[in-house]
Amino acid sequence: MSKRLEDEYRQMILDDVPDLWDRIEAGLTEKSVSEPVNQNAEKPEKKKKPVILKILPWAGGITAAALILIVALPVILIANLAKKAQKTESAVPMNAAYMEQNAMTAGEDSGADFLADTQRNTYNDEAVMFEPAEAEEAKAEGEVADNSVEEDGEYAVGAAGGAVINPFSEDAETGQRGKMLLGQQQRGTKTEFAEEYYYAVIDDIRIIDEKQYCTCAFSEDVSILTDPDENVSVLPYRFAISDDSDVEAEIGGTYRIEFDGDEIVLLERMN
Amino acid sequence: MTQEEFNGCMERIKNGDKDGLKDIYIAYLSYIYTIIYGVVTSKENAEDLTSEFFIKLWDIADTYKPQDKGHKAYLATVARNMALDFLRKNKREVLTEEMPEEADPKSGVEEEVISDVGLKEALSKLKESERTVVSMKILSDMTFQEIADALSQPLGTVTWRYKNALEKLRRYGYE
Repeated sequence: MSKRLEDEYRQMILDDVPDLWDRIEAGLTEKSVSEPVNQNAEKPEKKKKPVILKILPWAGGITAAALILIVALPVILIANLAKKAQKTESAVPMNAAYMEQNAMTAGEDSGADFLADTQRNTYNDEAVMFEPAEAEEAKAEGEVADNSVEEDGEYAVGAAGGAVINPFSEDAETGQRGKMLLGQQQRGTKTEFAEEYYYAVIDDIRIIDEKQYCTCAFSEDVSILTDPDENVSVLPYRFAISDDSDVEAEIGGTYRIEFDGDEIVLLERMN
Repeated sequence: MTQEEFNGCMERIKNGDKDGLKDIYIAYLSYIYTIIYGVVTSKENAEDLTSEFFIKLWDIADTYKPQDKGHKAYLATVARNMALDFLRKNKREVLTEEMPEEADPKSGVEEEVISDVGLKEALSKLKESERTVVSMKILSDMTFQEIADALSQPLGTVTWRYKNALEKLRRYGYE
């Protein structure tokens, strides 16, 4: 009698298989229905952490950049403003120092503050603005001033250091000086004296060595000279009146003039 | 149980449905128990390990992915591995139990009287080491190499023991 070992062996084991379900069920851990939901709920939390970690470097970079801008911008602005202010401040003293130095130089050499003179003798906006006098010329003026102060205080145009200039003193500068100043004015002022003719108001007339001299206030615009409201100052120099003048010189007269060498030629009387 | 039915049961287990596990239990209890018994050759240990197997299946259902070889092979692999792990942990005890039988001089096949006995009695005439190899080979459907690896014995020894066991059982009318 042949027996099937494999089949009988399996069947024998199966016959002995106990019911294990109660043991198994007792050992099962509860899987709540909401557990998947909870897992899903946990996932965003897990995701949030790396997201935060990823954002942090960006946030850090942005924050750092913002902080740098916040700190750097005011510093840059303040620095720029300070530079501008420094430039402005430094420019003013330089000009002042330059003018002061020129005035001092003129004052030391001649005793006359020509700069002050020219400032006082400013005609108007369109009139002549004189540059500081050269040392030599100012020196001559200063020497003359001492001799003429008693003679005619009218010409004691206020000079620095108490020096007074009398344009009619023997050694005083002549019209050449005035003409040169006018020439300087032609180059250096906003008003270009390109015209051939100028206008002058004769303030005083003196005869020295049989030659007629005058002091004048000049302008290229006759209306300025004739306007009583205009405070046009007289140049502190004497000008020789050319014999070729067409009209006779008279104090207080307003003339159209031209220069002939260091002399002025009175071409026409305007009043 | 088809593959689709098995997958459906695993999905139900994922959602905490114990009936999903019970369906698998009803379908595969004998199959799993036989495999485990074939390795451990002990009813008590087989019952314990079979219970642990279904509890483990409940726990690992969340990470289960359909297998290419089919769910039956998957279940067999898990059950066999559990039994082999158990066997390795209790190896010293098993060897100790084997020693008296190995020393028995009357255990030779030639000396046994051929008679018409039941399988249980015929199996009891085998050495423990022979019974283990037969169980693993027949019930657990393991290859000789797998048995050799599981028992940490040479492949030749395993095949020789299996051959001796079959000759003994043949004397009792089993082929």
